Amino acid sequence: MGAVLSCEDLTVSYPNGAVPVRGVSFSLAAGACFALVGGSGAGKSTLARALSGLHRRSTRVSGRLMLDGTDMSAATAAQWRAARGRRIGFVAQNPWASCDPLRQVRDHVAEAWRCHGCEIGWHDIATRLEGLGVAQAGERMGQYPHAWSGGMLQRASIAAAGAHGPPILIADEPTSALDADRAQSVLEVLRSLGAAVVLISHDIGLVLRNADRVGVLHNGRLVEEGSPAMLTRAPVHAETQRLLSALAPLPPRARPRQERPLLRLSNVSVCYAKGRVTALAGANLEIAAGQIVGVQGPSGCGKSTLLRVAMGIEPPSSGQLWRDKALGGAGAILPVFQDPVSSLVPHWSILRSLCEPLTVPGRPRLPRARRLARARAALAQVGLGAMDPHARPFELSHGQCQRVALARAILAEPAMIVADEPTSALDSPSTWRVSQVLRAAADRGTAVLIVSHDTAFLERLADRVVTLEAGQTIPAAAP
Amino acid sequence: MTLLGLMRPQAPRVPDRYLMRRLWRHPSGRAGLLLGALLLVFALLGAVWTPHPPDIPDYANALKPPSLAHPFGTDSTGRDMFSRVMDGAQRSIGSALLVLAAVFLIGLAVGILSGLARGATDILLMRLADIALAMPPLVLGFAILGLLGPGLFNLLLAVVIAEWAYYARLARALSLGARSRPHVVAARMAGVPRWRIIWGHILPGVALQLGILATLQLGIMISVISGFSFLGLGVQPPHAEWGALLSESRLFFAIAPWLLIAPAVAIFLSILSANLVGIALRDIETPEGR
Repeated sequence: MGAVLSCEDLTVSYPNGAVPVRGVSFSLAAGACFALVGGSGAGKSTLARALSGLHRRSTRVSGRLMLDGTDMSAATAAQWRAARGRRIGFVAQNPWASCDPLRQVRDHVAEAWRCHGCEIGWHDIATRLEGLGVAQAGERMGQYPHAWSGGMLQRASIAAAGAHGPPILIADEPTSALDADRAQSVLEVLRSLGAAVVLISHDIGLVLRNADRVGVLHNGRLVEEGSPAMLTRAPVHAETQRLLSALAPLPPRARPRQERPLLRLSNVSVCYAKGRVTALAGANLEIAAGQIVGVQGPSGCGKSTLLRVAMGIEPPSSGQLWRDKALGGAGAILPVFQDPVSSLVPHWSILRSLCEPLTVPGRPRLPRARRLARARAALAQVGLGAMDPHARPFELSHGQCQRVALARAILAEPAMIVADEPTSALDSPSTWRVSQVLRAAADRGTAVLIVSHDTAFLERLADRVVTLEAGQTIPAAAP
Repeated sequence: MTLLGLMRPQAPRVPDRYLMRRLWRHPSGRAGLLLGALLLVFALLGAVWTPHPPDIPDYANALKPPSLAHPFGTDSTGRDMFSRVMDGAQRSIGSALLVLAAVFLIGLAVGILSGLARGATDILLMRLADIALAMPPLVLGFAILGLLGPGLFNLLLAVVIAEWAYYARLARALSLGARSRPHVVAARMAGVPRWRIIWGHILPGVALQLGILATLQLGIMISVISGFSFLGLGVQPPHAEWGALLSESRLFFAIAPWLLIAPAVAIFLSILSANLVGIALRDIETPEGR
């Protein structure tokens, strides 16, 4: 099989002097899947845009780019426009963001034909959507994007990208808005079109399961390339090793020394707006010291409300909330909130934010030097040892803020940590690191209650996962 | 290409940690700060030295056009206009700053107290504010001056009474928002005492936002005070104040129009400086724009 896509020495430079992609060369055989992995800022998305001619006019792209037998190195905007859709399809990261909320889903799919001057009937679109696993496509495609789930909407995007049967599909993080199960099935749908796929992802596990070849991008360079089996067996470059570390199993769980329950919610309901809105309807939860309990469920099912009840900042409307004496004192429960930046005091250095829980009355007064040393140690634990501890939150990335907020909770050694999506802004190696830190805290006897939509993360970390649906806990099947 | 490949990527531009430095980097912030500093020096200098005595008449030189000795001419009693404007700067700028400091502090205290205490305190303070807000500020100002009589101190008092409620309202809204922010909830759960949360978490953020409003209002305040003085309700003769100077000069507009230039330019420049700084502050604090 010949290569449908090949690039040699591809370099992308921005007018401000930054060079996000430097001398990347690879080729892609027809029908194969080439995955590009790397941390944030490695140049993955820039490369994807350059491969599909979506870069801005002021961006300089040099090197050779062969697309389906045509040299596109010096292609004009019109040539790229003609190629996109027919010879190269693009699937974007966030399906909701790439759909106009005021147009029906079928219009978005039909656009792929209309923009090339073709006509397609609604019936054909429904057939294609059904072929990609969208149930009742005929009725549902008249709905607006917000009524579709992420996985379904991403299938519609794939249907649009594959409209003209292009030999190449470029997919930039097509699954990052989806949970693990849906991610796998969307990728299978993507492969089912038969086109060669350039898959860009930060989820190394997903990539290794699905790609034929994997390239590791680091600082804009392709530092390592090989088959998934080869990379897992003998990773050469340090970046590859770092990415693969996310797949290493967590250290075995030290058995919880005591099964002393700390918190019990039985049949708890919470209503807002004088009973018109029900956020929780009969939730049950029990957590013991040293236990890690995960909570999962679709958006709007009451996960955050459940956490607020557990934290004690939201009184239940009905049902019973029992808390152990150990949870009564100030600072016994520490939260990690979903919004990482506003969890830190905006005008304080992160060091000051970190140390604050150590300085509350009722705690043994530590000398300042000891407090700072402990704060630095906690930062190192979450992988931020190299960071300037005097930085203000707005100088940090979301992922860094998130880890600082977690370090603050760990540092104070509370009886229970309640974390709402603590890894939503983290890449896989950082997620793995955070899992380790939480596990270590639990081994020291801290109860950990985590809400996350990252099922894989929960299953690996938690002793028990509770599923919430429409405000009700679903009894978990014994693992 | 190889050269490009060898170039180090640019470090991402991170905003500076200190507000003053960010303000200095902002083009309109720097212009406003420079202009403001200049005006401040002008006002301070005017308080201790002027080229001619500002308040002593010199009838021989009345209504002289601009010359080297009197760059902006002399008024109807022969006093040097430039010296009068210099002398008036301390009253115009100083009283605007004084009024703003007062409404800022009153507004901050009342707003935070009412936002955090809730309940009866909140209701009482906010109804008071509603009463102050119900009347147009100018009408309220006139009413108070009518009651107390004209004079600089009474004028300042009247403006403070007319303006504090806006600041209190805003401070209350901001502290209500701040009390449910994640970092405040986290501190509360960690057991940080109430006064420390107010002092460390809530007050600085509210004060900053209120300070931006105060800076934006500095220009308006100068014009309000000048306006009252123009009407003869503020600074009393023979003392100079920019608005009062305009009022005196107005009478001679037909024969000595240049007399209006110096006080008008002074008022214009001070409002410009305040607005430039205010715009820069707003850009820095809310980059997404309001």
